[in-house]
Amino acid sequence: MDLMLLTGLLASGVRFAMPLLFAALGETVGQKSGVLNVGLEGIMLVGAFLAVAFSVATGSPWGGLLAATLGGAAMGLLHGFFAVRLKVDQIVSGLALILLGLGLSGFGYRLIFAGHQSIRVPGFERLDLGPLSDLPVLGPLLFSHHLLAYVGIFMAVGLWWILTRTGLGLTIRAVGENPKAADSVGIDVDKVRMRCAAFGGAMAGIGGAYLSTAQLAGFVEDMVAGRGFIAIACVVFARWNPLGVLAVALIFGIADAGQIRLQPFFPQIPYQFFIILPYVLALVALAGSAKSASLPAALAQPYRKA
Amino acid sequence: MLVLDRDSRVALMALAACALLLLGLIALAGESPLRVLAILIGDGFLTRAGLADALVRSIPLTLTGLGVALSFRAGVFNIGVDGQLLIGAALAMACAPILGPLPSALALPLLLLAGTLGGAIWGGIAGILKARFGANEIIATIMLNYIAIQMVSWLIRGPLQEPMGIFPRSEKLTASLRLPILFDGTRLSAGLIVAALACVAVWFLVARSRYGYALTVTGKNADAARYGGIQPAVIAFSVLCLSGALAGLAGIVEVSGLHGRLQEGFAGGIGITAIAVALLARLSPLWVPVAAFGFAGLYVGSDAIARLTAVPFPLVHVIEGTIVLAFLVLQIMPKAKDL
Amino acid sequence: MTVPVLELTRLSKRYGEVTAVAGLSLKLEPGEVVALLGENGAGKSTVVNMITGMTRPDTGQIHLQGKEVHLDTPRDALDRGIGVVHQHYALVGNFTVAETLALGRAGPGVLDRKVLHADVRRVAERIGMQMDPAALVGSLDVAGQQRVEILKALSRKVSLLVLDEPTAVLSPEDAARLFDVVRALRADGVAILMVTHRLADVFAVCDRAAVMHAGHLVCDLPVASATKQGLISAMISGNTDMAQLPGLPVQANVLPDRPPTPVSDTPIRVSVRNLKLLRANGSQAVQGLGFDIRAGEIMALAGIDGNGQSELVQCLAGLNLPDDGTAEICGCRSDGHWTPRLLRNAGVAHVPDDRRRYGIISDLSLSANMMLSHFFSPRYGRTVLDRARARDDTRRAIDEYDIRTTGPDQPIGRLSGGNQQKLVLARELLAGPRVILAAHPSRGLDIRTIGAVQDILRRQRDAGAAILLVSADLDEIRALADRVVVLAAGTAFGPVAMADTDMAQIGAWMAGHA
Repeated sequence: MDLMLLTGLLASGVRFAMPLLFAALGETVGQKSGVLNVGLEGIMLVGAFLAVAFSVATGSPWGGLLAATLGGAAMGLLHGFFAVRLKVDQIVSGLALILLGLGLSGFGYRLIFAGHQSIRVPGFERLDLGPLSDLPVLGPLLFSHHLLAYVGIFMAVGLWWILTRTGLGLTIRAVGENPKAADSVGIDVDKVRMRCAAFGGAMAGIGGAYLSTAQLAGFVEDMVAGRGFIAIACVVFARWNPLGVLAVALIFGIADAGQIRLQPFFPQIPYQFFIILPYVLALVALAGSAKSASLPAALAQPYRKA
Repeated sequence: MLVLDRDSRVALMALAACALLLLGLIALAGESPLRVLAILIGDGFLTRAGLADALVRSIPLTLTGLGVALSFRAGVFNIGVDGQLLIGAALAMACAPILGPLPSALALPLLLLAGTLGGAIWGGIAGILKARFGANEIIATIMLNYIAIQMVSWLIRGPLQEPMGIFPRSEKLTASLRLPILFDGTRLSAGLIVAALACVAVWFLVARSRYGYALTVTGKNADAARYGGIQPAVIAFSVLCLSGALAGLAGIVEVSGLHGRLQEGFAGGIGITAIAVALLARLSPLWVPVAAFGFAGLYVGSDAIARLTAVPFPLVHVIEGTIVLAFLVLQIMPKAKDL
Repeated sequence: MTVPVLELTRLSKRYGEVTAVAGLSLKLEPGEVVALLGENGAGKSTVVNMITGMTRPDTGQIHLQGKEVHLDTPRDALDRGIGVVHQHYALVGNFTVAETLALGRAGPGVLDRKVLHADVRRVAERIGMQMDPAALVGSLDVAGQQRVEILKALSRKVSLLVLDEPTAVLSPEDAARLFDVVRALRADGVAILMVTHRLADVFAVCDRAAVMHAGHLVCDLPVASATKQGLISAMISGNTDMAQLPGLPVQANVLPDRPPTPVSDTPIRVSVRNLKLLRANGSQAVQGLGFDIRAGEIMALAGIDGNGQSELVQCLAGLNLPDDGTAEICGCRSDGHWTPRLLRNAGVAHVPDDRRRYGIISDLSLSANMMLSHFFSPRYGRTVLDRARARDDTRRAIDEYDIRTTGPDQPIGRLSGGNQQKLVLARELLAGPRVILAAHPSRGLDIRTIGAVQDILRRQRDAGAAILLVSADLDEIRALADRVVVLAAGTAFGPVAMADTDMAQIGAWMAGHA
């Protein structure tokens, strides 16, 4: 494989990684606080749809991004309301989000866009850093992505710093490890968890928005195609470390970009075998990284005061 | 008078909000909620054609719902029904050419068995990943869904494609391998009997057998199960196999009883509805067919709504999601028998 | 005249039909150490919860420094200078000591490690305590974690410190060190409410003793004028006329010493050789342990909680494999096939220490819980469950053990802890076990039930069972054991016959002294 191809592969790997990265970072914060949300898939679908609908309506991808963020946060809060406040089974509540997301996004799409197949979605412009973007190899690799991609990478580092180095991070970790300890020093466990759930939802919404307005240009029903679940696998594989999430999301992104690029080289192998690569990778990653000591001890356990 | 605590009141308000959301969505589509409801109930349950159609759809929902109920009882979240169903159907179809020449009384049960086996294998893979490596079964079964979809996509364009080689679909099953139609003029096949038998078998397993007890104990308290000598890993593996087996059976019953051939997306979305079915039945095998029939009618009615009104079909998923949330709300309501 | 730090006036709290606390009034002056005594269920915990903002009283007032306060949340209590060290520590294992103290006090912003560490040292020095601010809380032993809890409370300005059963899991040495801390705080003017059921604590460090019985405060007197017998009778019967009642229910520490029964000619049922066990986190729990238990004897496994007892019992029950050495029970060997199923079939009964986690399934009925331990015996059928027989067995157990329940179909979670424990015992002893692993069989039970449980174990011993009794309670060990082995900090002392040792020696071993 020559250098051009490799550069292209890595650059599009970064692009493919972003929806996973945003959703997985949000889920990391949620799980660190003890809230398991298996409904990322549904939230990403709603985010993807809202981003397209509002980008078209406002004429700017930023309008779409804002709508997706708010919609995602709303769904995160809905999950938080059931899982944290009402203390029902978090997995079942997450499953309900998948159904709601599937329904709401499909409903809205058919209502608004039915019959308008070739609608133009105002997408994100690539960041133009002038001479930096024109550099060979490094230019396409490092300096020619959407602004959102840099935001994602910045957030991975920022969240790592917040979780390990600040009082806020201490609070979030305590709530997810031993909510009773947090409660005993006067921290409102449910409030912290609700906020983390809302944050996780907002990030999944952004991930969906990236998918429909930056990585692809448009909405198709069920377009998230399991990325919500791969994002959860990323969190587990990265052992709840935002920097690890960044690395794992990039690996998945590159695998996804790679399977498309590899197809023409092996015409004798059915293309379906390439498509399943990221999914197989997720399975292998899961099998290799389960049973981790970093698992937040109170994950998916509602907190009831004595 | 029933006095509700704060949580229950809030929960009921949440449900009311969901109902309002549904009404709002219908209004957004410019339709009258009453008309939509009338079509939903009328076409879903009250016409002869609707009723027959709902029964047809309730067959796979019952079989898969039973499988989901079994696995959820053990605290194992099998979200991979769709994949197990596809692989079951695919394995059975791969065996069809061998079984074709045999007499129907022998060939048909063997065909169903092959489907069951295929589903069990696909569920078993997730089971091994969970039992041996501790992998989260939710993610594992979902990943296996996507892998199964691609494998079937390849099979019907490759090894299993019809000899004409034009459409991505398999050859039609020979008559000896088709489940007979029960009532003339309907599409209702003997799959209904298979589903009924499965209900009885799963009920026996859950309510009367030692294995059912082990499932329940493991689901309620895995540490206590270990203390009593039950191995949760063995339970997780076996229940994923069983759950997958029922899904695989559903797959081949769909093909043999309804479609006659393997094609893309022939049973899409059954898995997630099966979860709603199992939850609504409170994981009780005897309620699963009732819940399955209810959801089947909902789907038939929603088809009619999408046909006759401007309300798009995916509304049905919003309704399903609301039903799951309602199930959760009911769970936290003070239980009447406790008071 | 000084203003009392805390004044409770006619506090009451009901839970449904049960009155937990009824019209309790109590005063604490600055620099006063008050013991709050009572049996389990007397209402002590409810009082603590009301003082610390965990529950709200139905009626009555709480005054702090003379002002009436309403404590609706733990935060309210903290902000008003009430510190509490709960019986079950609320600590995050993977936090450092410094992070633990910062939690809830530091703002959301950046944490300066140097400032945090200095903070820990400052608080520790105030009461003459040594503490490494960078140590992971999870790596400390029970006594160390308790010290972190105390530091946590003192890192805020406290005028009242509540200690809930502080000595329950401490060795005599660590308890003495705790009392030094209490004295230092008293000298500092901090009022201390020490909730306990150990009379030794009262006489060691407290100024006043308040006794609760069935929700009522039955006596409140200076320790100098209290007697041990008087406090016991107030705790058990609520009777305060200081005389011992005739026909007092059996209680371990008022029983005369029973001469140990040496057995040497019965078959060896349990044999442990050079056993090494690791904890889940990889640290060493047990090292070089060896003992035999013969049919018809009770071997006590003494030691402060967390010194490898749980790991040993889990191993002997087949739930874990030894990391080195061997165990052999009734012909099953740990280097061969070693599972709970196999051992149970060989006649091993297991009364677990963590009942809620291992022993019962709260949602299921009594009769379903009855089947749990006999799942792999043919007792309840091989393929189809014999639920009728389980119901019969349960009915018989309810009669025999006097279990308070509506019947075999009631979910076991509705029963009180003592009644749950009786069902667990009934279940474990149902099939006439040859070996009984009894981990803290009477912990958390009231004094009447403790007597019954100890009688049951004695009868099983006399019927020829080999019994391993895990206990941290010297009185219980003295009442039951024939021989004793002590685990402390990964090493084992003994076994010795009870006749060849005394309580002082066992206490020293528990503290890690040879």
